[in-house]
Amino acid sequence: MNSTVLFVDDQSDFIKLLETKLEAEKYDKLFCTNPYEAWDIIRKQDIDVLISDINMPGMDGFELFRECMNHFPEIVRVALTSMNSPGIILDALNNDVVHRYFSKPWKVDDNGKEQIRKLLDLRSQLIEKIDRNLINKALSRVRAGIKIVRCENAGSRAIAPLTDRYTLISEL
Amino acid sequence: MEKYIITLPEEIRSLIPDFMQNRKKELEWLQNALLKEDYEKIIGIAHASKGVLGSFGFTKAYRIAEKTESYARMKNKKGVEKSVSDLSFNLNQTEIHYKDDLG
Repeated sequence: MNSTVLFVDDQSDFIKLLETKLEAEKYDKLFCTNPYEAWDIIRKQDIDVLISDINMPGMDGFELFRECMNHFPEIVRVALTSMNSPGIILDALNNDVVHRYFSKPWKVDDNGKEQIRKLLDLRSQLIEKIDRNLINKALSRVRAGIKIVRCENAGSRAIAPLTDRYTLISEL
Repeated sequence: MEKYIITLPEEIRSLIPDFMQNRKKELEWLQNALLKEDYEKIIGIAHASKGVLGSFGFTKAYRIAEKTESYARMKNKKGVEKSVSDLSFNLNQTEIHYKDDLG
């Protein structure tokens, strides 16, 4: 199954630019000019990466990211904005509201395309981290006295067998 | 009369007519907001406009829109008037060329 990236920006011209420039990229792309519609899509479809503008009428990008963080934490959240308030962006990054920040103007050149592909790798890492936390929570609930940790030489290949990537250690 | 020549990738040629029309609409909105001295509205329009202008490669117009936003934040009426007029002039005087391998 292909990965899916959802782009949200109320500027329809910018969305059309993305559609044109990213046409040949291999992942699936969804485009949306309305954050409420975007939220609807997120609830109904499997989205791997959400790339959204911040300043939008009605629901702003941060609100959309927070909803996502609370309900679908495995989705990679990326702010794409010409906002020039570093404090606000840093706050969002430091509080995990967004994982990455791309600055507008964004011409979607080769470098921009590569940035998006890297987000798909980040998604695998994010899922691993969430799964590990869930397993550890479950283990602590059954008082197993063990926890799952990432192997030191695991590398970053999410497709490697689980037993190559994780090991169980005693909590004692 | 001064002309601004910009070269854009051929692949986005078909987007430009709508793009220019939308920028002209934004200019009208800016001028109307300026008449009412509605600086919040000017900030919103100029902010949105600059992001899309820059992303399409209209660098000079992007910088003017950025100035419009800054002047509006300072509620500097003369500054906004001048930058809106500059933006209108720039967009009217821009000549667009297209090239295949710009990426």
